[in-house]
Amino acid sequence: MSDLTREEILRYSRHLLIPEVGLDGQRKLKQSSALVIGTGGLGSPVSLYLAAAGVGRIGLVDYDVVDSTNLQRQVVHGESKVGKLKVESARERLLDLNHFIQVDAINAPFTSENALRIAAEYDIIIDGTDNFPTRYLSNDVAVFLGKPNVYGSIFRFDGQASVFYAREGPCYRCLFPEPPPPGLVPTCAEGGVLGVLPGTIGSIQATEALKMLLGIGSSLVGRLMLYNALDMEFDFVNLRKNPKCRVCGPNADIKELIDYEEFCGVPGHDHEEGSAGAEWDTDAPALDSRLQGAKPPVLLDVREPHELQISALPGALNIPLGQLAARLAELDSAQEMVVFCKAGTRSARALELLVSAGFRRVKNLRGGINAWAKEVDTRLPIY
Amino acid sequence: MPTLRVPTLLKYYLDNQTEVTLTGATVADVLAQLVAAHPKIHTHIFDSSGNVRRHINLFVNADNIRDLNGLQTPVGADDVVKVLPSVTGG
Repeated sequence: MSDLTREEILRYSRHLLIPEVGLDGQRKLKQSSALVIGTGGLGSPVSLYLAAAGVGRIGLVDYDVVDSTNLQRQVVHGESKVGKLKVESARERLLDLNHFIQVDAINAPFTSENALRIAAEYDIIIDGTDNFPTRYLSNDVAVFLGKPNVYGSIFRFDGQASVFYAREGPCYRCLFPEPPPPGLVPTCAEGGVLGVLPGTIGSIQATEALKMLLGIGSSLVGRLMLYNALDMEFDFVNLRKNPKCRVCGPNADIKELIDYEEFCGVPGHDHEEGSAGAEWDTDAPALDSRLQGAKPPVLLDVREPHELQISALPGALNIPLGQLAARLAELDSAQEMVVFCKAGTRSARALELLVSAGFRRVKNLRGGINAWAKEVDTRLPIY
Repeated sequence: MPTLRVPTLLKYYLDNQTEVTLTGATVADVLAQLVAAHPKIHTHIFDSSGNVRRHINLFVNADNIRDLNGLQTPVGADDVVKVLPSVTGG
């Protein structure tokens, strides 16, 4: 067993004093490894605490770069890292926190092509992803490799955490056999999240990961923790293996990784520059010239009413995406219309809904009102 | 009367409430009461065929109704029916 140096013994003294950890436990942590998928809201506290605790090898997978909207919650990054690769930014911070560990920065999307190869090298998988395709992928990889998957997910004030470990209990698919239909459940980029929430849930994931690596305590295997920050309530529900689970049940029919974007009907990452597809898109300068022309199109803003306080286009009709299906009667399908939201994702869904309802003269403002603020009216804030 | 609890994600369809008190002897009854009183929540729990969506789990207290008697699981006055959708933020 790899031993600890004098410096490490001093550094980890508060762990060595705990009977459940001690010198043997600290050595175990030094020998162990964890793969953190996503270096965002959840990945930040998870990776910071695992690094500080002395987990010997930490893998970070992400393909994104740090932007200023991340800093409200992604505490592993800082202002000086805006525009830099997230995995490099995080790696630098983790090594600054603890130079005794190894940090692997894997700058790539986690996909069916590379996931098994990447994850095979680590003892435990930590799901800090922000989209359904990568969540199902992380789950299936953990099941196929027989590794625990420490799960966390967040939205606005609510968090969920569990440990999915098919060898001992249910997997993510046992609980959620299928993702929601595209557009029904908003992402944090669309619906927002309290900045400290991933700190709470990510810290619980880090706790569970450390306990699993140490082999101590009662884990969240078979239990789901529910946290409501607004009312400050914690709740626990029991999870059991689903006999019909398609990946870990007795009659499982999914034996290898699949196309997760197709399974979920959405891309495996947020589209900040949301697009409905080239033929359905218009860009901000083109819309600007149309609005100044003789027959300007009707503007339909599908954002939530409170977002209009941040930025708005004069004369736009506001029908939030969630109400659109019920309020189609307010719209005239004969009139040309441009739909927009913050960044183009919700409006792309609105456009699909409108087209399926028979609207043909509709376009999506690619990149949303943020693109308008960037390219046409720079007085408007970008959010 | 049983209580029904939803997370933040769904409270906007329940007039901003995370808990409502409903009548009914089974989970199915409680849900029927729920959508009758708050029709906007219907599409978030049920699909177009009227089945509970596959990303929604329903618990009575701490147990998934899948492990009990499904929608026919009985509920008493002190029971809490919890609606749990999957969320994906990270």
